[in-house]
Amino acid sequence: MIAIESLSFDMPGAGKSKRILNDINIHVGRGECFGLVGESGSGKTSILKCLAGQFKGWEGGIAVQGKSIADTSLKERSNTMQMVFQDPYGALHPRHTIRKILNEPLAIKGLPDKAERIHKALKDVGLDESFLPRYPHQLSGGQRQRVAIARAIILDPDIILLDEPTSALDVSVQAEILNLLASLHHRRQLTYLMVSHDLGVIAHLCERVAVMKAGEVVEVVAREDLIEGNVTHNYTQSLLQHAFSRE
Amino acid sequence: MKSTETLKNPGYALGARSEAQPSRMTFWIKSFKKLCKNPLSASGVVIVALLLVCAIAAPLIATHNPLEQDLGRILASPSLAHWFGTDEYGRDIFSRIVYGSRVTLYIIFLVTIIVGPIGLLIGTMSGYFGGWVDSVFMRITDIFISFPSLVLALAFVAALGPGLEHAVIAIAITSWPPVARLARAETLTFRNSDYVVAAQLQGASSFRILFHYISLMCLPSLIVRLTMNMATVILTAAALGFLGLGAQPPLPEWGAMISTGRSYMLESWWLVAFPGAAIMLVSLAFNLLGDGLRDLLDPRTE
Repeated sequence: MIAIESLSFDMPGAGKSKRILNDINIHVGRGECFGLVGESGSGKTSILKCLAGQFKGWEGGIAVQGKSIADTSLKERSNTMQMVFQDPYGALHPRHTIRKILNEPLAIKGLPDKAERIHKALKDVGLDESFLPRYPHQLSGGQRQRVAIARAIILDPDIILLDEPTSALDVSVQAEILNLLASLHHRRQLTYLMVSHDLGVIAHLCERVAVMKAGEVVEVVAREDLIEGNVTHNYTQSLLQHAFSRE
Repeated sequence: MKSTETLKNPGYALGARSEAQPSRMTFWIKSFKKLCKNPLSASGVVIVALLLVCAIAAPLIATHNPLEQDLGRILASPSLAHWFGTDEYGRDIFSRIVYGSRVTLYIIFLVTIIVGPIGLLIGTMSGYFGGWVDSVFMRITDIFISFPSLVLALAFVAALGPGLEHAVIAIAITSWPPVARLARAETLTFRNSDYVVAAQLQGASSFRILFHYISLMCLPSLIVRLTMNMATVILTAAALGFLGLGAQPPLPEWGAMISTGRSYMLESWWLVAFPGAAIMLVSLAFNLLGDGLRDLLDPRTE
């Protein structure tokens, strides 16, 4: 579904550029939930930004559904790939009502039955139609993240990029959103590529995890191995230790 | 799956809706009340409202015909018959000031509807696209900014010929660059926000993003800026009128009234004092109103 091969990216800066991704190889299968963990600055989000078309000028190959994304525009990709952002406060336009937010992707695509699709997407994320005339600032963080998820699934994409979708939320709300994501994953046969620094969140949702450090993938582990501590690389072991020592 | 909010509070979805989301009308009333809480901006609102009333109901308010000459009563000092006195042709100054508010509003209105869209379009485009679009637009803006605005306006009026419409064009040409710069600066802060990225991922065209996403965010500060700008527009229009390049006689324009009254200033102070006071009062009012609107609209002050 997603094939990333020897991806490298240099962040252009003043003077000399800085290499933030180095020779990344990741393959995500159809219907899989793949996680990316690592500390801040390890390049997890940069991979998503390359996929989402925000970073240009990367080297290597990224193919989505067998087609290289260098050859397809964002508009062509919008039916296959959508994204949910970390910050539920910044992800929704503050002066658009929920109706307008959900209507926009349908209007851009010129799809019929807008009201029905909006109703269905809202139902899927556990909201009702009374939210439609409201503005984002009238909603709680969890509700906003639900709207953001509804916006991502309303075009029926196959892939959803999740950029730390729960890290800005309360613990109780985190669990709700994670359960929502898990149930959507099963019901809609979605493929997830999820970034998080929280091993617990990753282990809850993802089948396989790539551990990243300083712009490189050090290890790809399955969920079972992660839970049992069956990891080979030193860095992954220390990550696991930290995760457990916190609990 | 029901939302937790609905579970916790069953009335949330059914009953309390009108309470949760006030209608547009109550929003406006609330904003207006908030604006009037500050005495300074309230006085701005009152003066601008008075200006509007004067302009709309000029024939009802004016005591005389502003163009009617009465050579038997020239340079009469303020009295009950002529509240603000008469000018060198015996025309009633109060009536001329009342009718002059029409000219002033006409200039403000035209300049604002020219400058607002042009500044917004150029600013958001150069901020959003960046690269060579930005360079070209910003260099053009720099060129216009580097001229003193009155001198540039003078040059345009001199080229086009004196007249009210030409004064409007000249003022508009000199006052769009600051607006464009503001719109560009605002755009730069929004162009990489998550909701713009989300719109790009949905396949929105650049112009859709500019009009539906970025312009909306620029509007509040732009409205504030344009309101403050109105004070400058009034002063520039008065200056052009004073130099004889704006409104042409016998049109009662405040700047032109000061200009002709200047020759009689020492003996008949009312020729200059009243139009001058009108200009000062109205430009002050627009500044106060702009300050009030900034407190109201600018999200950063909340």
